[in-house]
Amino acid sequence: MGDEMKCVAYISKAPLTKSGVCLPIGLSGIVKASNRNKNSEITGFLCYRKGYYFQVIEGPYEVVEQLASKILVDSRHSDPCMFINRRISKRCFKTWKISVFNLVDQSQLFEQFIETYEIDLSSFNEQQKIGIRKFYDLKNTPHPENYEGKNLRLKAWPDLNSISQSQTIIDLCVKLTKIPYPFEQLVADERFGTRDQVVEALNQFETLGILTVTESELSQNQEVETVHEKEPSSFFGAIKKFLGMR
Amino acid sequence: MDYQKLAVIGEVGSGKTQIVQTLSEISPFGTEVKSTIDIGKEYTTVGIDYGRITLSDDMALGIYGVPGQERYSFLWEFVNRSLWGLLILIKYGETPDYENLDKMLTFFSPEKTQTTCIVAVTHCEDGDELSIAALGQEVRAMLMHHNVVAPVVNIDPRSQESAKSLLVLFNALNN
Repeated sequence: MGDEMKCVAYISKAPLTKSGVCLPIGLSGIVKASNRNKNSEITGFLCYRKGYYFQVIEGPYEVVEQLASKILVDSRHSDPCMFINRRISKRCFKTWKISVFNLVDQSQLFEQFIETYEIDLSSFNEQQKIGIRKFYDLKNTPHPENYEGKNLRLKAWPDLNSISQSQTIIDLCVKLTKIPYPFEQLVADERFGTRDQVVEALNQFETLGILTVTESELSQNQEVETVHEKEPSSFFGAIKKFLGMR
Repeated sequence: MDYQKLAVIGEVGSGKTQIVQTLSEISPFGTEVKSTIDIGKEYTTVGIDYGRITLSDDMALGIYGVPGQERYSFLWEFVNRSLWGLLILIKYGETPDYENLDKMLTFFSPEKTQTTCIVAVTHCEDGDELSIAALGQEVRAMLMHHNVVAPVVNIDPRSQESAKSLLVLFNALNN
């Protein structure tokens, strides 16, 4: 048994709060605990999306067996549906830690998993397929080639721990926080970089599942509607002055 | 007089008193009393921490730190009028009371009232990057449930730089 390895993969539901909100409560605790797995040669990943967890763990047979039996009865999730539970000859992941992905996972690690376990995935029953599609089908979500004629707004701010914290990205997030904003105006505002840089940032937000893209309403002369920038208030100027920004 | 209000709300030990103190040019009134239950610290805020930034002769920002527990929601009522900003503090290291956060977001309804909201995670120095990111993800899921688009940032309430960067962000979001 010494060198034998095992992989376990499952999808489960995040808990509901008393008021019925589905939240990844305890995710930070799970991550903290998973950091202790570094020494037990566990690799894999944990992903959360819209009320569901997707977890893959691999490592020495006995260690994975014990860990999986503990995880499956953990109250921080429910209804685990295991779809891979078998011996493996080599690991899919080289990292000695469990990673938590962003709101939507389309990372290389996920693709790596899909590629390695292609045969397992192709033999899924319908229930298992429905489960994994919550994560996997996202890969095929088409990104608009361009955002022309579209209004854009954030659904949520990106995780500033994992995305570039450049002033440009933060300024762009600020702009897209309160109201839908026309793409053309973003490009015209040189603070957000070149057209390509704006598109790249928007694509990144879209990959994370945090961008709402809607059609602009065209005015009679078919010009794209403009969001009129309001004059900065005197309070805005006073705060800037207080902060020594002007 | 152009007087605007910034409400700071958070659970016990999340750093409300400290951030009000750091943000303010005047010391908050002494509203801390000895806690009767074991909350991990000797003193807790039972009223409102108040601070003020005087911007000019006729312009000021009042900073109100209010307890996050629902039993103090009468104080939420007190500050929830024409807010310039709502700062929600979350303490890293403990699973936040999401039931309470849910109630808080329902009460303040930043999306409906168009109130600028920022969530700041404190005590991050005790955590590793991944666990902090996971906590941020929990919080963002709750914000999304309430359709609140708000940045989740890590701060040190003792740091003037952290406090200033919050003001910069609030100001930019309000413009």
